[in-house]
Amino acid sequence: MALKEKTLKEKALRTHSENKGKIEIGSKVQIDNGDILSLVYSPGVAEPCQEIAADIHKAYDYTAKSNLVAVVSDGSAVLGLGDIGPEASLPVMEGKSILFKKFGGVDAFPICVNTQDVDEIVETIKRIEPVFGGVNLEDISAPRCMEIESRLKEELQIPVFHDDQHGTAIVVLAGLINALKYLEKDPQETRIVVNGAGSAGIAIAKLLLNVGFGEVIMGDIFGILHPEVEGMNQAQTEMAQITNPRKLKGDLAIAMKDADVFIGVSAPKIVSKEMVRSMNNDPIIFAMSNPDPEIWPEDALAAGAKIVGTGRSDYPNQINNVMAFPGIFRGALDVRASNINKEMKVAAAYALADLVKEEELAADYVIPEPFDKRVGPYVAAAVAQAAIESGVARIEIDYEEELENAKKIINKEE
Amino acid sequence: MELKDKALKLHKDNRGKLMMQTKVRVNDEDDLSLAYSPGVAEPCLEIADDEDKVYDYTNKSNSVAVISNGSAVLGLGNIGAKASMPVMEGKAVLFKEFGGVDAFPICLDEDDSDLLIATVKMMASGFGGVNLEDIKGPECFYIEQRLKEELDIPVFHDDQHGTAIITLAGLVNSLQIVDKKLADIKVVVNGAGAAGVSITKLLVAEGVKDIIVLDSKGAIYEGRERLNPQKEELAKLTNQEGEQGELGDIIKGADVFIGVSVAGVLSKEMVEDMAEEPILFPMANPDPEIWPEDALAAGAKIVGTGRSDYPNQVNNVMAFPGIFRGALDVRASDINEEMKVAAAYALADLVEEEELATDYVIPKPFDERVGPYVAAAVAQAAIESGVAKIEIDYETELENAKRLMARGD
Repeated sequence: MALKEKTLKEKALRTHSENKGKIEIGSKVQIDNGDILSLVYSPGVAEPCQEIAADIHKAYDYTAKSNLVAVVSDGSAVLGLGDIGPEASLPVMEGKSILFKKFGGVDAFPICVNTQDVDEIVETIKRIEPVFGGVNLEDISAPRCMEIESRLKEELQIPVFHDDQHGTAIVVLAGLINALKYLEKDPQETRIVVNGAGSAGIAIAKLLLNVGFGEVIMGDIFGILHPEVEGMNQAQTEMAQITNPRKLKGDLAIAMKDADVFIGVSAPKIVSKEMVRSMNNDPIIFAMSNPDPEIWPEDALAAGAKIVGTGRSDYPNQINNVMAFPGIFRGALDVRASNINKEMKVAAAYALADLVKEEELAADYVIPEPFDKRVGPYVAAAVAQAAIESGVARIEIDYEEELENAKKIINKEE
Repeated sequence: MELKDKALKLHKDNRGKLMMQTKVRVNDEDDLSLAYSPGVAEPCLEIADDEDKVYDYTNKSNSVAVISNGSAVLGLGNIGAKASMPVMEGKAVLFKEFGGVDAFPICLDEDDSDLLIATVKMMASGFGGVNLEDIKGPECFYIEQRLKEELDIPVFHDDQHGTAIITLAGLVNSLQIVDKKLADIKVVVNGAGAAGVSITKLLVAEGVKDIIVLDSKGAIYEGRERLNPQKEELAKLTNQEGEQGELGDIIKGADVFIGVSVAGVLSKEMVEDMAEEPILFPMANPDPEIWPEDALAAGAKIVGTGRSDYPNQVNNVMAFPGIFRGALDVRASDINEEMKVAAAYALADLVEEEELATDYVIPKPFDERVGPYVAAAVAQAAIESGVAKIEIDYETELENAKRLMARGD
């Protein structure tokens, strides 16, 4: 293990230093003579400027805006590394940018802001809005991330998405849809424990409640979220009101008893085999703490778990955000959606779930694989339709057409 | 098809001009684990430990922000941030094609200078340099000055300095032809906007003693009423005799006319009133202060314009890509006067003595030597003037820049 880690570290550093990072700018036009120069720059460039000055929506026709997403971070909650600041977060944001390109054909550019003040972050992004077709918030600590997201969603005309919250939630929902289908359980009748009341946990719980899945109980380091628990932040206090209908009090072991599903976005090794044994028949475990899960899959299975998913690529049922954000933005950009709303997130989850056909469905295959080439296009097409149907799309395109369009754009990156 | 239709078609067909590209493979889980989680944590930790390593592990070392608020776009005026995007994207692709520099357009919806400065500072972490573009005067001077002081990466307002550098290059070569010296000539600069101010300062710094700047109200002199701070400064720096009057008066006996003003303001009669073998750079766009054929008919010896359809084109694309290439390659903290002057002389030197002619005092924009030679000279000037964080010798940087700037790859 030690040797493997050393190799990974060395390889990762070499990959980054040899290339001096991972992204570069490309020109879509080859400028090799004065005629081309006079079109891409002065004097010809004045024409698209004037068209946009007369009608700002034409920025989508004449500039890269229609395919550009800002990946915004303040470096305050980077991976498991915590608050490492904007410079040190840049490798992650560049990484995000290449995933956007590779899996979604989206041009994403990292904007690392040197402030952790909510107002300053919001104002900065508002000022750069003209350039971009969308904003992806990344690795911003809770609870500020929720406030920043909700303010930007209100104040910007372009879609805003905090991947750490919603990306995970969407992939978890997809996995859960299939897991419950496989086990022939009724989603409405399931008891679901979501452990970890940070931004991802809260987004997961909200999405599950939105689609009417079961009874949701949330837990955190202080135990089960309950209106009488003290020391909760505002978001947790709100969640305490809308979850835990049986008003359970106590620790994780109490929450887990008779539960059908455990969803962990918390800390390694906090789920014991005993807790799994105390669950209802055929328990489902999504233990997504990174890199070490809340319980290792082999232990969970030994204790009777029927289906186990983690964040890891070396176990089945990997919950990987890369199956969500590229296709979601592809679809949102292609219909010029003003928002990424609940309907679009739910559509993304069902599109992902549907990629696993009924006859393929198995305990170790409830979620598609990240490198499944169908993922991005099918998510994009479903999201685009949901945007149109929920009234946030500025242009319309039918499902088949968007599916072909997304395949073409994304496959170009192969 | 007309220029307008062609330009609109090119922009629409491509949905703009700029895209992102990846420098690393992401074809399987192993690639993913290096470029993203978990491997990506390693460069993050290295940078958290030593901030300078951001230059080794990210694209910061080659990244420039093209900043505009759209307040003075080309000849179109204040069209706003959104409508300025085609120009800034265009600038970004010129940076890439001519300089191998990764430039990204940041069009800021903000007219307040202090808020604009604060926003740029807030986003500067990811960039190795800042190119200010199409920001109206006099705010552009204040914005550039403060950002230069407050950021540790180079800041360059191309509208000011790009034109100035190429004009100096053209003038140096022109004077060789007419056998005059910078210290002896009388120069008239018509137009006291961003470019006019910068040209004047650069020429004074290079030894021009007799220089008068005019704005729309005539000659700028010490004591003229209601001068803004930039013109106040120009008044002190120029026009030692305190001459007053219109262009028609001031131009008399001048050796050099530099126009960064409006079309048609220089008449044939005015050219006839100039000293022997006058040198003219009428650079108003798209129509110059005087058309070259008229200027030559009136006795001008050398004429350069901003236009590609006449000889001696003054085109900024010969300056900013090489300047940033050189500045980035030595991690310069500034683009200072020494570096600008070095760029001008490097450009001038590309026209060899035996090639020098009245219709060839400035290299051509598509001359492949331009970028690398400018870059190498700028890098050396940065090192010698003490603003470089890493050192590299001239020949090495020349080869390096040639490799990075090779076009059409």
